[in-house]
Amino acid sequence: MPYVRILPENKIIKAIQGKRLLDILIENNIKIPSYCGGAGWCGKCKVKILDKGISLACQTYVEEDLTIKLLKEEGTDINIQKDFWENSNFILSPVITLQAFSLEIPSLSDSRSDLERILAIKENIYLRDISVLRKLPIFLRKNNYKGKLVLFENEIIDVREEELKRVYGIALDIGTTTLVGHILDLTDGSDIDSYSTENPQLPYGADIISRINFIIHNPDGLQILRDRLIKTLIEIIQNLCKKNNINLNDVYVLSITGNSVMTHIFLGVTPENIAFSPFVPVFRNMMILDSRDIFGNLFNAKVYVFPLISGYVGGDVVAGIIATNLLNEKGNIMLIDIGTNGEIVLKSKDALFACATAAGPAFEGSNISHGMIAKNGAICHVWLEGTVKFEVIGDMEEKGICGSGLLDAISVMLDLRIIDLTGRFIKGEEFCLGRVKITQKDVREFQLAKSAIRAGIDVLLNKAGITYKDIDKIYVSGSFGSYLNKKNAIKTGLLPNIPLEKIILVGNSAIGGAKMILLNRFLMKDAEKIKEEVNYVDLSSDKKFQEKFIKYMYFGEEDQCLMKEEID
Amino acid sequence: MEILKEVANAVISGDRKGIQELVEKALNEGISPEDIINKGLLSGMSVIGERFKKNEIFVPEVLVSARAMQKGMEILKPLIAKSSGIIKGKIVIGTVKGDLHDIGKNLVAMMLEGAGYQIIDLGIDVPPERFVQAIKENRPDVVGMSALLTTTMPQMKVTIDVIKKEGLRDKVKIIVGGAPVTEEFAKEIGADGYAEDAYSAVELVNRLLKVS
Repeated sequence: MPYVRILPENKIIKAIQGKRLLDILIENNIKIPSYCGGAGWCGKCKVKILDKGISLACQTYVEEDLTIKLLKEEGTDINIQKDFWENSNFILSPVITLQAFSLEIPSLSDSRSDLERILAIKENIYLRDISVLRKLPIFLRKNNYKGKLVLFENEIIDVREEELKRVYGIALDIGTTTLVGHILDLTDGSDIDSYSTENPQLPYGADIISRINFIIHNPDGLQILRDRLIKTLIEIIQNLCKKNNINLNDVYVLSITGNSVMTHIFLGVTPENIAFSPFVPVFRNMMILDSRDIFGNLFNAKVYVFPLISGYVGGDVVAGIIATNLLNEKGNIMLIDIGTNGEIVLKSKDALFACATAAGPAFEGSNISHGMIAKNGAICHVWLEGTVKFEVIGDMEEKGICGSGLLDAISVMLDLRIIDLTGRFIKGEEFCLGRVKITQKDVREFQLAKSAIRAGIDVLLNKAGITYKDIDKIYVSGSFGSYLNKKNAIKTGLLPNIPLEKIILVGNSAIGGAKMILLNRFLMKDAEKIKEEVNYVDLSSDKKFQEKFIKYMYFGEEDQCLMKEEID
Repeated sequence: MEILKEVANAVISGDRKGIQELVEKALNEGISPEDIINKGLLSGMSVIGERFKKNEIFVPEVLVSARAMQKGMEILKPLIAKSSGIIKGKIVIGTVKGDLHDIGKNLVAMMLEGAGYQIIDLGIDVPPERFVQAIKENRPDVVGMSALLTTTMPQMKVTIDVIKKEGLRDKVKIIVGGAPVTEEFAKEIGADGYAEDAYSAVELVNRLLKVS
């Protein structure tokens, strides 16, 4: 039987020959992130195998003794959550509470109704769900008038047997590209497990605009996209429960976060008007719904849907603001989420600003000749060490390049003067990393994406009346944000030139916020506050943005901007 | 002639400050404004257009060059009006309703202006009715529509249909452009032409109006 030695803890575990490394690690309670449930595409379960290099644990089968090193990816969401809770006064006060009761047994002298007896248990509680009322008479008499009330704030959402100890909540992040779910124990606040899969709407387009187009041009478009989404969300929920031996009936709350378009589709509300100026969403308010209205009779839970800031800045950003505690931090702080869209938030003094840029595709691998997401076979890092070196996820032959790899590659190309500061190839016509090629067009795509984000940053700084030098901290979130090389982000002009320690990579901040709101119901009020207080800045109508967008297309820092005369 | 080459080079390098001096110098040498435009400014812009097509240069350089050209035009425009009084044609241009992007549209407008056309720029987010009104008021030869978003592209068809309904369709040539727009799409919605970039747009308009 082979042994697996795990560094840096130096723990040794026995493994069944031929078994998958990821499963071995999980079974032995070794913390390892995996968003895609071992499907091999999220790239989160990277480990370093001594003498062999970086590999995905889910794609590695243990045939012989191995020594592996767990990679502390800076800012995977697991870490940020932990750090956050440890560093702040996070109080566990879950949205779902259990209230034990033991009622007086009715008699002729006390013939109050069943419901009156229940409502007397605690002040201000109420019952709205008729199915609980229907359950009540049988339950009370069968259980000798003892049991537990399941409360969502003050609403009685179920009556359960006395023995019930643990209740659960599930946080769901509906991304344009990826769906992520986490199941949490609401009694002790632990994050039990996560599961992630591709958004099943992907065949209908990679970005939100193409999804909206599908809805506009097909009478059943909204229904089709929604059905696919709900079906996959149910799979995630069932999977999380099954894998962890949790009864679906013990799940009492879901929190849903996503961009505005995904949130609209989730609720079956058309997002089409978001696609045109003046970009009006159907709603912005948070919603609290019964799961039956969305998921059918599968289970009976409350569904909390995050509020939206605008048509292009959605509940995922609200959740991100919560996860990074932006409301309560002092100083000038930015949160930049680099996903399929690039959303930027700036907190400065007492004002909050947010904008969205259409920056994504290049960083997620699309529109790039050999672009791909960060999975096995993707070049994820490129650097100079005498010659050009690169690292491939899965320690295999390179199949393509992901966003972080592209950023590094461009930085190396600048160092080697393969491209000049305008982004033009001055040596050769392409840059080869093994079989993977980066073309002139790829460099241009990158320039468009990075200048959109950089210009967005400037517009918000302008609104707040400060410059990049005044920034105290930048949180970078999103999947690309977990692998980002900060130095190269500055060198290529994606981020402003601030000290590296002020840039903090935080992984998926949306799911972070969605988890936190399950564990602290007061954060729902914060979410409302965020919705009300954030000033949305529309970049598409902002003249300054266009100016900056053009200005930042080149490489080089702001101070040494190549444009001798500023475009006005 | 050497000075025309210098003017062209000033456009290529985007020398906004030097170009006016060079244009003055060319005028002093007795070269006609038309020649300075065609053989100087526009020939420089055509080099830029070619380089852009070949991916050698990027949007910022094109804009810088276009602005240098515009600076040169500032001097020449009043002179052409005086000398010949001939404008090659009138063009109404705008970004369609729901779309606020105008970098591409502005570039096309500048290039057309440089090529000797009179431009009536309706700006961004232009509803069909405003296009109609502009046609009635200005009697242009060409109407140009731009869209950057796939969701606003259909507005081009809507606008064409409204122009038709108003009985103005045969009074103007309609051209379309923008990142997601294609030749096929242009045909499908009943436009007269499509150009993939600003330089081709000038060629297209010249062709449609049979001027050179």
